[in-house]
Amino acid sequence: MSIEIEELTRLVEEEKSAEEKLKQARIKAEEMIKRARDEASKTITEASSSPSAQSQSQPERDFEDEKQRIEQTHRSRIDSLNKLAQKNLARAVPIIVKEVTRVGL
Amino acid sequence: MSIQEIKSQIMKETESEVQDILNKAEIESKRIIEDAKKKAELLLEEKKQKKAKEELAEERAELAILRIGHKSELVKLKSQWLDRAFEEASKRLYEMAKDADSTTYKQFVTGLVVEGALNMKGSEFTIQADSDAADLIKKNLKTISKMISDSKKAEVDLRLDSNPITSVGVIVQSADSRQYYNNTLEARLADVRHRLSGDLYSMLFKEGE
Repeated sequence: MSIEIEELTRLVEEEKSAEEKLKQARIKAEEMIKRARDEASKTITEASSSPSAQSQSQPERDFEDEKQRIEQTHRSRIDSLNKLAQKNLARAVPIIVKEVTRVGL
Repeated sequence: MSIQEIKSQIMKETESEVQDILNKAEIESKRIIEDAKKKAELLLEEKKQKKAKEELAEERAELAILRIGHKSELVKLKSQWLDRAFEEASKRLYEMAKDADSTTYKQFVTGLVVEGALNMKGSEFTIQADSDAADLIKKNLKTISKMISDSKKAEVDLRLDSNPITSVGVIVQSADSRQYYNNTLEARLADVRHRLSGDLYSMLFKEGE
C-alpha cells in the first residue's frame, strides 16, 4: 500500500469514528431528555396524587371561635327564656284557667 | 490541505457537533423539568383552592346545622313551657272540680251544660257528665232547663244520662245522638291551647313588666 492510500484509509476511519461519536452523543442526548421526561412525569404524578393541602390554622380557629360564639349566644338565650318563662308562668296559668272556665252563655 | 489537517478539522467539527447536541439536550431537559414543576405548582394550587372551598362549604353547612338545631331546641323549650303552663292550669281546674260544693264549681258546671245546649240545634238534649257534675245537674235540672229555654226562646227537654263519664265535665248530645258538644275539661283545655297558644307563647316569653 502506498503512503497516500494508507493516509486516506486513516481518514476514512477518522470519519467513521466521528460518525460513531455523533451517534453516541445523540443516544446520550435522547437518554438525557428521556430522564427529564420521566422526572417531569414523576413530579406531576406526585402533585396529582398528593393529599390536599392541609387546612390553614387561622381559618380553622376562626371557625371554631364562630361556633363557640353561636353556642354561647344560644345558651344565653335559653337561660334568658327560661328565666322569663319562669317569671311569666304565674301570669299565664290564671289566664288559661279563666279561659277554660269562661262559658259562653 | 494536508491529510493531517483534514483529520484535525474532522475531529474539531465532530467535537463541536457533539457539544451542540448535548447542549441542546440539556436545554430541552431543563425546559421539560421546569414546565413540569410549573404544572405541578399549578395543580397543587388548584387543589389547595378546591380544598379551601370545600372546607368553607363544610363549615357553612356545619354552622347552618348548628343553627337549625338551636332553633329546634328553642321551639321545644317554648313548647315545654306551654305544656307546663297547661299542666299547672289543669291541676288547678281539677282541684276546683274536687270541691263540688263551691259556688265556682256549681256555676261552671251549669255553664258547661247551658253553653253546650245553646251551641246545638234542637230542643231535646241528653247530658252525660262525671258523677259529681251529674249529681249537681240532677239537683238543678229544672233551673238549667229554664236558663236554656229562656236563651233559646223555646222550651227544651233536658235529660241526664244515668251512666257517668270518666272525664271531668259534660257532653251534651242531641236526642238523636247525631250532634254532640264536648264540654269536658280535657276538650276545653285543648280548645284553649288551640286558640291561645300564640298569645300564651308571647306572654310566657315577654320581656319587661
